[in-house]
Amino acid sequence: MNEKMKLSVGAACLVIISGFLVFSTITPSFASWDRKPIADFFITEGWRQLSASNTVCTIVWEYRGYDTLGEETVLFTAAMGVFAMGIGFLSAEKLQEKWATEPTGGRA
Amino acid sequence: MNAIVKTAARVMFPLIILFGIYVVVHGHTTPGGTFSGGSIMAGAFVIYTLAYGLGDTRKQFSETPINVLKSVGGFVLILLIIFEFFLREAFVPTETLFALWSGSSLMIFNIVGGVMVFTGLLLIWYTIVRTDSQ
Repeated sequence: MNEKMKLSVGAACLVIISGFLVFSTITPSFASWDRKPIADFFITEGWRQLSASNTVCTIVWEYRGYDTLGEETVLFTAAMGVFAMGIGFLSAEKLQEKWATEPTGGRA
Repeated sequence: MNAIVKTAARVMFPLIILFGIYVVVHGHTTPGGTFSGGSIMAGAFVIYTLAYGLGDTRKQFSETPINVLKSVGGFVLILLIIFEFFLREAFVPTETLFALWSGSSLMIFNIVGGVMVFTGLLLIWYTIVRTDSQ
């Protein structure tokens, strides 16, 4: 498979996926309001069940609690990854200084 | 930085922190919540770092308690979400909307999540600036 075929396959995948995303918001089978009773339930019953006036907060932390747990896990992993990467950069610079100053390479 | 930026950062720092805490704590009544409030609180530290430099800021607010706070926040959040069914009985929902003590367990979720977002963004900021400047 040469470069041109790879590019054309990628372009076809891009067109298909973006077209599906666009059509899923346009076509009435996906986006009609009356076929989503769950949204109506959130608006009418959410504040009654939890007595919180911010329905977004109710959905995010109660009805979609595990989703938010995964989101926080992603943030935690990103912060720890950046932190570990920074420590790696620092230790690499120190190692380079050590290798530059000591003739034995800092190992012996 | 010059004196104007330093003075403005020193004056605005506690106010921005206070506003972030307000956004986090009132997450279940007003628009906002964990991510916006935590970002506001981390933004105060960003302004302080830009005015005073990283060495002074890390001398004032060191990294080790931030790491500990982030790890403890993640642990508490996992425990809260697992045992939320039993916790809901402890936080009885009052019937008054728009009151601060109204969401059943949303307020403590917001506080723990806000701590996690704040510490995460602050840790990322510290790491990026430190690797750039040293």
